[in-house]
Amino acid sequence: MSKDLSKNIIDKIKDDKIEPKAKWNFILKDSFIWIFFIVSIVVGSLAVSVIIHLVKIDLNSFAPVDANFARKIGLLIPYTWLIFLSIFILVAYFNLKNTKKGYKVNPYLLITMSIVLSVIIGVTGYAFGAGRSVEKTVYQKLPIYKTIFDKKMGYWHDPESGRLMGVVVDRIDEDYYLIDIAKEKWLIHYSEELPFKTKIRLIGEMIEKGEFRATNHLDSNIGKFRMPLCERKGECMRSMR
Amino acid sequence: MAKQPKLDEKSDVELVRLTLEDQAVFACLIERYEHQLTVYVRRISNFCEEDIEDVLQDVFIKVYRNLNGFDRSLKFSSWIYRITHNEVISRYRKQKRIVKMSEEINDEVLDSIVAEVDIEGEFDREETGKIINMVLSEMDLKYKEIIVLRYFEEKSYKEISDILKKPEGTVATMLNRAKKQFNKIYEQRFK
Repeated sequence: MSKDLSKNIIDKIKDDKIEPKAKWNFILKDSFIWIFFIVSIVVGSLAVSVIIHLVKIDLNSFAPVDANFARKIGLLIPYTWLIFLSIFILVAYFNLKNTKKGYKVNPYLLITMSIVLSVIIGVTGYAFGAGRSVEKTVYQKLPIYKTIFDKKMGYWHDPESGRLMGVVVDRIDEDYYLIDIAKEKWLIHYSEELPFKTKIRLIGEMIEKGEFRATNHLDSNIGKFRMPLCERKGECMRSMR
Repeated sequence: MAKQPKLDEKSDVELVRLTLEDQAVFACLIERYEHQLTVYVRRISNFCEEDIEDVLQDVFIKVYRNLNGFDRSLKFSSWIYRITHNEVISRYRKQKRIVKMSEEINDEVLDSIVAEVDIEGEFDREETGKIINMVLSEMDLKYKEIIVLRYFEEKSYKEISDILKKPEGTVATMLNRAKKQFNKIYEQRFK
């Protein structure tokens, strides 16, 4: 077979005019792999920034809520962004694995490297406000994300479960009048000062339809992190009605 | 082709460089690897001779097309074995033929395999060779291949790592599992 095979192959190369691919093809392929890896890490890092941003906000928001620990954790986890992060960590891993030397490294180490890189860059990005602006942009541009977010925010308008969301419009003695997001008027009993004309969330108990006893409140400025809900009150209200 | 006798003495890397200048030089690389790749494909795949020739033709054409992408940090032999491995895997998925291995096993290979696995009993060398072939024929491709690369092709862990594109630690683990599977099949069939 020897003489035949080499002759056949050389003949085929000549007949079919087969040429070695140019060097730039391989350089381009390697570059694409590295570029995709970098893009995946950057996108994953942005997801980390958003996760920190949302968890920090929600930690403040849900702290006073009377729910068990598991329920609070369930409410705190930003599932959408975690899925997003996982996808891009996997993409980064596959790109890294497909680099020239990638196969030499243990796959678990590659995944760990991708996660660590995403977290380091993500935390840095968060410190520069990336989490907040990315989340805001995605909310405005991606309808599906808006739907998911608004559904989560709907948690805050459930008077029977002790959560009420709306704007204080008047005060009579020790009580307040609040218009909720469904345009219903409520008499609020609360011993502390409440801000007017600002979207607030109340925690307490419903005495009867239209009357609510509040034990705690959250307004638009909890610590240094403003709540997305309050920035989006108009949109949120429309979608929850 | 004005083939110079000197070409046979040149290294693989030099032949790659020369092939990029003159395609006729590629015949030297084909002749250098044709036999060992034929035996390798036969051992891991159980393809018929016609299919083996097709595989080799495709392998060499792929090698020629991708000469500029050859990573000089690898041994050329590791690279060409990797391409052959990929080609066999892709064909193997299309046509799983079960034919017993018939390739003769030389004494050195036979001794190294017997030293690593648990073949016991009063077998002469010819019988032991047949047993090894029969057991290998029944093994999973991934395990059979690693045994073939390690003991028949006498590749180092690093070379196997480069051929299969797996970390060296994984190669060691796979080799252990391959030996276990070998012993299990041997026990089921011959004990």
